[in-house]
Amino acid sequence: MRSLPLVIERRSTAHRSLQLLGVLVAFAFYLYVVGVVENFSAIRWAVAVTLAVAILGLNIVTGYSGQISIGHSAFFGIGAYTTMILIADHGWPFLLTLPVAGALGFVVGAVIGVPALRIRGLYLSLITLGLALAFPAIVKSDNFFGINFSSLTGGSNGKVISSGDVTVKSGFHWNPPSWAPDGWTTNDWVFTTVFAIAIVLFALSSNLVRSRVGRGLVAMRDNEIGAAVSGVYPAQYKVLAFATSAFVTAIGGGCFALASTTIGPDTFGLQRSIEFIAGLVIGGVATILGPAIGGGLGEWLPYWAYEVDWPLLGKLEGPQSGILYGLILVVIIFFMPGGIVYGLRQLRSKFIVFVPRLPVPQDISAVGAAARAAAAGEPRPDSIDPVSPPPDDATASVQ
Amino acid sequence: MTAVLAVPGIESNFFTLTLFLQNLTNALANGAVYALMALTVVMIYKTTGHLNFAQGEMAMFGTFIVYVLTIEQDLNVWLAILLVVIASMIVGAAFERVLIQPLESRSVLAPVILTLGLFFMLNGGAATIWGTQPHTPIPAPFPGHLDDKVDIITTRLPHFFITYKAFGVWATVAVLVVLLNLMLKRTKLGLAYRAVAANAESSLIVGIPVKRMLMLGWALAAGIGSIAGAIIAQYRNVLDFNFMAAVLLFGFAAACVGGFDSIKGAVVGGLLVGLVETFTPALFTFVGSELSLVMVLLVILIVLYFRPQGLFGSKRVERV
Repeated sequence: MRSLPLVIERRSTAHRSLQLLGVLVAFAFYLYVVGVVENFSAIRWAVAVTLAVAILGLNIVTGYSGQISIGHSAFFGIGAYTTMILIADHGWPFLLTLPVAGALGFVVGAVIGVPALRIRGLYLSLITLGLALAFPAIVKSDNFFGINFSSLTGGSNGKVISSGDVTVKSGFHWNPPSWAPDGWTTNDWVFTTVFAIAIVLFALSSNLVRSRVGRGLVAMRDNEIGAAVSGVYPAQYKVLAFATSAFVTAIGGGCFALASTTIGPDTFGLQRSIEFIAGLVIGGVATILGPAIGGGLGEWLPYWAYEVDWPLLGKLEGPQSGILYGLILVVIIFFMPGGIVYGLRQLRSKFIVFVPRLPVPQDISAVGAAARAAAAGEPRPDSIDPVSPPPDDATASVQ
Repeated sequence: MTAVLAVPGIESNFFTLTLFLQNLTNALANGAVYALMALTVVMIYKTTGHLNFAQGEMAMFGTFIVYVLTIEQDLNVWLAILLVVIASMIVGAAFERVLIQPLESRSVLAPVILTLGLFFMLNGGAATIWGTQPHTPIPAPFPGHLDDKVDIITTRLPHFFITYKAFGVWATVAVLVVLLNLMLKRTKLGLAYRAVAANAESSLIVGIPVKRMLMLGWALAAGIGSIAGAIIAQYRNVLDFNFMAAVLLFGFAAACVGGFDSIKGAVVGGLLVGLVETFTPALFTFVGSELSLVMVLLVILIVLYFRPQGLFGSKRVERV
């Protein structure tokens, strides 16, 4: 019996099967929500998934480029209102509204990001704080530089998508399609939709942070001057990261409109923004799973806050649940910096350790010979056999 | 006789003399309120380089305690404010020592995120203790009845007057700025504080207790914040668990306009933000009065674009 921890090489069969196991767990979670939990909870899980997507967006800017945005509630709101208005007033199909929502988020993110990110330091957090506070006011405004936003957004009353409402032009139901299994409710179908969208966005974002752009962002976060010297142009990267982050969060908002069916200006206030940050930090900054945990927390923590009779505090309703968020956040910062995902990783490293696969050692003289041969204008050999001895003429030319 | 201007997009009665003067005094009184919050931002930023996002909530919590002491316990308002200021200075210093200092070495983001956690705890805590409904009556540091005002022009309509509350806000800002300047420029403590603000490492070498100066910054900010909270609650006539969130943004904006490390800048910036907030909706027909937050956001954007260090702030130079 080998002693723990088990050492597994990355990209080996064992590593791949563990990754497959992770995918199966995600699928099992999906089947559990669709098949087992009651109808009412399925929609709560759907909302949790949309929050996870929003936090995934925030993660790009806070986790990977090291800037704090307190304004992601506004991008979330922009996405939600775009989807809501296009569906309720213009009869668009849901999936077509998402690109529009994302694009609007991207543009607003870029406009906000350009002045904020030219300067280093905490200015982005300052401007985004303003954005979070201004967004509900703009939504309610009937005279925003002459634009009557409240007639578009429903003002303080908010907006609803359902066929029963008189204010809605076209009836809208995200009903399960004909090929769906028997017994699927609308809620199951909504969950399936947002879960699929979330999987795609999580996969894309996971690839993004491992790409050249992602590495550039991380380099800039860890040492901006060093990164700039190495050819990562900070302003361009930061604005791009911020706009992309707003794009993802706005799509999350669009899904949120579908899942919650009712939105109002105060759903997207400062409180929501700080919830995103708290969710991200508690889940795990700069990880892919962290936002998923944060999203679950964002939907279920207020619920538990009200269901449980807390010692000293009693039942916590609405904004009162912030006290729990704050407590968990402070405890996590001090005792599990990096969040739950890092905590789990440390726990896992007691049992399983992943090591990178080492490159296969090559016979250096053979590589050298090929290079010399190429330099001498000779045709390059098709493949270099690392084991076979170098050709005689190559060794001769050295002597 | 007022000239009637008919320029499209411009409010025609904006140039009515008494209305203009009334707007001006409102703007300057609001601006003085923002200057108070900007002072708290500056006191922390000068030494630590942080923005404390829980500043407004700390002030809100302090104001609720003033409320409990005066309205429920029948204490004199100013005595209550004094007690709360002392208590909040101790709490502010303790926050810095216990919560912020251990995180200093970790990253720039950790202390900021911690202040957001504090924001949530204080906001949710106040909502739990005092409920989510607005509270009345609000403790009144200054005479606040409808007829507590100085009439200046009563020959035309609308009348032009200045309330005692507005005088009170101006007087508070003036007294605080004079006291702060005396402390910073005439005492050893102030000298040490300024030394740390200028160069923390060198201060440490010459024997200045740098960590205590960081605590002092937080203590001063918390103390000023509590005074500001009590005054803003009366001036705005609102006391609930959320009343400081927007005011803090205006305070940040004021500090940003004036320069994050300048006391003079905080005052000038506060007054400028007050003017923008009041005059843009009053002057332009296409700006709704609920958009003051948006206008202030624009001001921050413009300042950051053209003069990131603010009007009176010092430019940060970095050695590579």
